[in-house]
Amino acid sequence: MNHLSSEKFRENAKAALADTHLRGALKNATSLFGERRKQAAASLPNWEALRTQARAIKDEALSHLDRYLKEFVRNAESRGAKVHWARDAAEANGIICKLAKAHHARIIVKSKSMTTEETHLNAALEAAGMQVVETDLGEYIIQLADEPPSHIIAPAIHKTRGQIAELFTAELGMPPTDDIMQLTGTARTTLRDRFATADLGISGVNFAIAATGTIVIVENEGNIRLTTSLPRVHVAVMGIEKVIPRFADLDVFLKLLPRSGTGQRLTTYQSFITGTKRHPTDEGPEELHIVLLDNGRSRMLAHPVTRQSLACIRCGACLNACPVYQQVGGHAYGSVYPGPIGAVITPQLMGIEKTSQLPFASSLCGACRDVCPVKIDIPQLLLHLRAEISPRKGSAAERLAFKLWARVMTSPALYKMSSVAGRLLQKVIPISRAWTNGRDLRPIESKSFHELWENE
Amino acid sequence: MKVSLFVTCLVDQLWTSIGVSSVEVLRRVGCEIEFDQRQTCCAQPAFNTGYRKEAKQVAKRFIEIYEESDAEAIVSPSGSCTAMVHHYPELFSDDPEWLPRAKAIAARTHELSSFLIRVLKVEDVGASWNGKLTWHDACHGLRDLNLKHEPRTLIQNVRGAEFVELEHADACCGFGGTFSVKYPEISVAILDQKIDAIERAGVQAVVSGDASCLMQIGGRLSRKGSKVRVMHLAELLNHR
Amino acid sequence: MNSQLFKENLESVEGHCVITTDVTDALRRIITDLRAQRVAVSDAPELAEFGVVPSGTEIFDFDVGITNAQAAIAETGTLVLDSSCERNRLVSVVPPVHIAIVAASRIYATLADVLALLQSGKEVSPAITFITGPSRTADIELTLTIGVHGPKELHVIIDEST
Repeated sequence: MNHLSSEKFRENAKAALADTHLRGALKNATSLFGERRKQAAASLPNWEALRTQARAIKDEALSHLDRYLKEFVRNAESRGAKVHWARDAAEANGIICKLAKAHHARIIVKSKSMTTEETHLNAALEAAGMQVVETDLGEYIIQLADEPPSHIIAPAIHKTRGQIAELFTAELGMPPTDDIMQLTGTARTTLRDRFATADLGISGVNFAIAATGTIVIVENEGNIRLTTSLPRVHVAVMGIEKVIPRFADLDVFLKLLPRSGTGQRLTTYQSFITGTKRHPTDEGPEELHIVLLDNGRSRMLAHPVTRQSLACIRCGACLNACPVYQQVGGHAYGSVYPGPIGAVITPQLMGIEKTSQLPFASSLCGACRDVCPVKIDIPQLLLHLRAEISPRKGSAAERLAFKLWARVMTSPALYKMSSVAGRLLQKVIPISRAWTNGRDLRPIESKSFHELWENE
Repeated sequence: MKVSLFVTCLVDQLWTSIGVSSVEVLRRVGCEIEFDQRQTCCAQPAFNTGYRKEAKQVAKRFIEIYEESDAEAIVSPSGSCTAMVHHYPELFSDDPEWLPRAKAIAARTHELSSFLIRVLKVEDVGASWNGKLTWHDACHGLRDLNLKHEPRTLIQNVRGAEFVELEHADACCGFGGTFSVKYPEISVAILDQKIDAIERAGVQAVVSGDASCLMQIGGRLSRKGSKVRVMHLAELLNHR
Repeated sequence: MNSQLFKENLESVEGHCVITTDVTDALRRIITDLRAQRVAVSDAPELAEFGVVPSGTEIFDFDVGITNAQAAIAETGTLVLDSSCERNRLVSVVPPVHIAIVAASRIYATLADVLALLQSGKEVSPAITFITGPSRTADIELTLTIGVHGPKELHVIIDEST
């Protein structure tokens, strides 16, 4: 798969800016998403109160995550689910591969799960000789294209219908058309056969209810219902931060998530799954396995400032609102979590070695914070990450520059000298091309305001 | 009322007419202006780039200088600088000596339009300017200081000015401090959305409350040979 | 009043809704209009005359699936299916058309009401599904397309007879 790397964010972004198809697709998608979200939020007069409530529930859950996780596991297991703890991506993939092998799973159907994208589960299953088919239309498209998702909720948003049509013709032998209904129909027909014959279904989890051991999964297409009810075995993969305390808490989240994500009052289907069926002849899987993934989350939990990034309910609203994402799209970030929330959690999940550019790829405008349904203060988190990164990984020139800057700014005499120096130097030193490539620059004033005031 | 002006390093070095206009407008509405010559910067560049140690050094200097002032308010013609000062308590959150001092200074620091409307309760400063203009909501002023209708009220009282609301007035201009030179192509791509909206608005001038946004927007407008000029709110309010 | 609100909300998401005191008549009309060839039903006894209870993967061979809904939500136009009460899990999702019958008295005003109801018993049912309209996607250019993996059409009959 052609994974772009976070390390090359700058180059990735430049390439994205030169891609007119991509920019057109992004402009349409993000503005449509943004408009729909805005209207959906406006339709609820208590929207702000709901956001506050949702954040309070998440804070409560995260403050006592170990307790609520244990409660969830106890309740899920008492209802017949088997729970597996995975410290990291490799362990999660190992558990799932082992399950698939044990059940002789030849065909695996999968619904959209960012957590499994994070662990690169598909690659692991394929390496182990299994066939895994993505059933969410957007995920199916990128699976055929061998690309990572570019958006948290609309993975193929970067593709035009023409590009998708070409893909379907090449990979599925579909007669050429770019009629969206026909494209969708082609996917439906092709995937139905997989649903009918799948041995194992893998899904994500939107919310896990501690009090009842219930997993809740939301969707529009129906592929989650099919994935989680047809095969004999259902594997549900979730980050540990998905736990919320009570069943009643769902009211708040089911009001916020669909509106924030797609502008809908409710997505078409919600599946509430609690353990396994009561009688062997009932419909539904024989076995339910829930994989709890850590992969750096408990480390994030330990830090009082960055802990709030675990409140994320993966709605994607921040991506649509972000001026940077709107211009460069998701692939440039080199992570399955792009955009504002991605710039915050990717360095925390993957370590700052290769992801250190991401927290700086922001103008700190705050549009993301405005739209986040759980009020994550993303700019605050970006600034916090920058403060962790710069003193350690900032270039020697930059670190020195700020040391000198502080000296000058704390000394009126040095400040005065530097403004005089600046006026002289600007005539001989070429102004940073980074600015002047696209913009004119005002010359330094011949008299500073300090000097004007002196002569008042 | 006695006001101590924080003119900001950007205005001091690159756009003195904003400082001059701010002083004249505040005097016109009855304020006595004090200007402490020791002032330099609010520390935003270091704070935003992740150099908190250096940011604290400069922030402490700001606090020390203005603690000595008996002015009732510290006023600045910059939303982002004012927002930075309002962040001083966060910067010194685990410093028992500096935290109360930071809080006190932050409480006394106001952005210009906020000071006029919310503190002085003045909506009309007697300005006039002929032509069609629009307003760009600078991000920190809008989101950190909740400045939305304050500048618009002031502008709408400028005689002769025809105000048009800019499409996506609250969209970022792409400056973002060092972001503008760390990721210049993205900065300009974001900026061009703003420029397109300005051109569609058919105005003679774009007004904003932050010199940094004006530099970004003005720099691109002039590069593209546009006749649209940029103006700081203080300059507009000082126009007669 | 809940019936009317439910109907409006369901219709706003491309669902069809009829309020009636004669369910049998309404059901027959819909099946006729659909020109349905093979009809699958849940194991609810009153539905037996309308179709076949499918087994195994033959569920994929049916044009229409008919089930009850155990409850509904007026504020969103949502059906609530509890598959521990009725064999409705696959019949309501596999065939391209789903017809659901819900008693008017089981339509609750809000989502919160139903959430309270679902955990009011000894334990939560193993598989509960909320359904709000036919299946859809906007994954291609954000253009809405109705009918993806779940049913392309949803018909709800509100039974006001009891």
